[in-house]
Amino acid sequence: MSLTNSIEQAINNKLIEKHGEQILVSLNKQDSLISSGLLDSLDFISMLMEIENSLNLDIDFEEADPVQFTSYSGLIQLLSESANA
Amino acid sequence: MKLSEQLNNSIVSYANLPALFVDNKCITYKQLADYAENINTSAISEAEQVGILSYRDTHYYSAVLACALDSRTFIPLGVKLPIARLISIIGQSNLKYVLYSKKYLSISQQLKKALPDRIFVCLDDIANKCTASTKPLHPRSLSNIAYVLFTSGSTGAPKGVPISVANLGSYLDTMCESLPLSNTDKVSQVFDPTFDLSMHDIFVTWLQGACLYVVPEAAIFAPGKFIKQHGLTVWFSVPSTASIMAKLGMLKNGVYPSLRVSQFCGEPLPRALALKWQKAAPNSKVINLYGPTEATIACSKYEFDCNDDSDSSYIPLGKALKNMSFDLDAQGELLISGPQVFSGYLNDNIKTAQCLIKTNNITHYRSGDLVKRDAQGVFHYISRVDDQVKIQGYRVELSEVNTLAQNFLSNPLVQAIATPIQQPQSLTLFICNPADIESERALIEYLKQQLPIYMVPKKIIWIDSMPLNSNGKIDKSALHTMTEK
Repeated sequence: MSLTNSIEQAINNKLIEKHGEQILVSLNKQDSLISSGLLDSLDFISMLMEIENSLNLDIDFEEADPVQFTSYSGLIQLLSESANA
Repeated sequence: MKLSEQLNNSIVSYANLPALFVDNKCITYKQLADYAENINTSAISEAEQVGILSYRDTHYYSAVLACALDSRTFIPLGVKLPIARLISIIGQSNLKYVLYSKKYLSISQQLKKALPDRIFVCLDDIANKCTASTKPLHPRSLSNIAYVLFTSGSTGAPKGVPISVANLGSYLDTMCESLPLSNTDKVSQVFDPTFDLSMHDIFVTWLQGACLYVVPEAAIFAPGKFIKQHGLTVWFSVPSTASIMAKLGMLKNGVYPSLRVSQFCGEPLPRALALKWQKAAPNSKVINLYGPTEATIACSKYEFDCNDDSDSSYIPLGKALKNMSFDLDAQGELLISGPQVFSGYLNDNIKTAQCLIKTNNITHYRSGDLVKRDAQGVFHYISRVDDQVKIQGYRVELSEVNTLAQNFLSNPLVQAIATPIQQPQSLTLFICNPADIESERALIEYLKQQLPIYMVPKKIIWIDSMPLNSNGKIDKSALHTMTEK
């Protein structure tokens, strides 16, 4: 599985754990997962820490815009980029 | 000088300087004051107190300024609170007038339906001059209460803490003197309007001609980029915000050179985090503030020194602010006295009598915090004497959650605890009953309709028997051990 797929899988798992399978169907990938109420800041951080540990990534969001990196697609993009950097 | 006069002086002295940066717009003192005047001559002109149903927009800050200028009590109505809680707040405070932003029209409609005799005034209409300005028919009495905030109450209903203009004035005089700002300072506004630390941000900034930078909702969670982008010079948040920023790689050495003052309050500040912040903001003082809402925003201060080789894992509470005094009772509970101490809860003489005690003609507020005083006279936090916990800086009475859950589930033994035990981030609720997924769902839904979201348990654990200590009370440390498994 590619890194991007693994990240996607990890986020899916978290969302399913909280809201059940059907959440992936109705998900708008551009919306902030936090502002839309799908995850709170703690869920989000614990998910990030899990991804960081399991995929051995070094998370660096210093320059990142929270509007972007809290969305499903923005997060995947940012994590993939930080892995390739 | 009174707060309203001081604010008027700022408006005259700094008229064309920026007072507020919100929604990507800068608003000058003059513009803000003009809007405030329109609010004060609107349909609320006769009101001695108003509720403000708005959040992080020009309307909210203008309404606060309007109330402060015209000696009107304001009560921030949290837009994220459940309707039932807002109704309770409006009822308890006997609010007749509510100012609301159009964005929150649906909340105001729901409130109006439940409370048809209240008057709801749309701030957008005032801003767009859609309403005629009125002069009050009768002169109204000026309120000596600046604001009322509602905190978690142990009996299941929020309790109102009125802060007088004199309480607030005393705090602001002290802060403006001890941490002076200039009219080039850019000050963060992170705190929710229902949290009294937001009053510090607003008034300390405006009394000194600085500009209040309202961190957008989406950025509150991780505001690193906002600080850099706008070159903020003064920071104020709960330690939890800094802790999240650290986890996201936003506290690298030297990343916030523009900051010259960084303040933390609301929950214990871990030493390691203070050090990390100091390195990220090398030109900044790092200051820990402490104080209950009842003693107006903060009443002690400690300036962090990164060369201090103390082995305590948290930054001390520090020493009492000017004009305030700290004493300890026989158990080590901190007693606070001075001009910032409030005069009692709204409509609750029993609770007031429990927390305000008079000795030698001095009124002391029982803080409920066990503390110790070291050889230098610096105070250190140890623990609470009661059931109160802090979740990301917000005060939570565990018994409020217990009472609601118990009533909803027809009286099983329940106990909420804040987890993890160091730096709690959420509540876990233990219920002594056979596991029942249906009632678990229904309970969470019910609690969401009654409580602010940080008070709704994130986890429910069903247990066969409740662990008790030797006094027959619920053994919370045993429950903590169970959550760590």
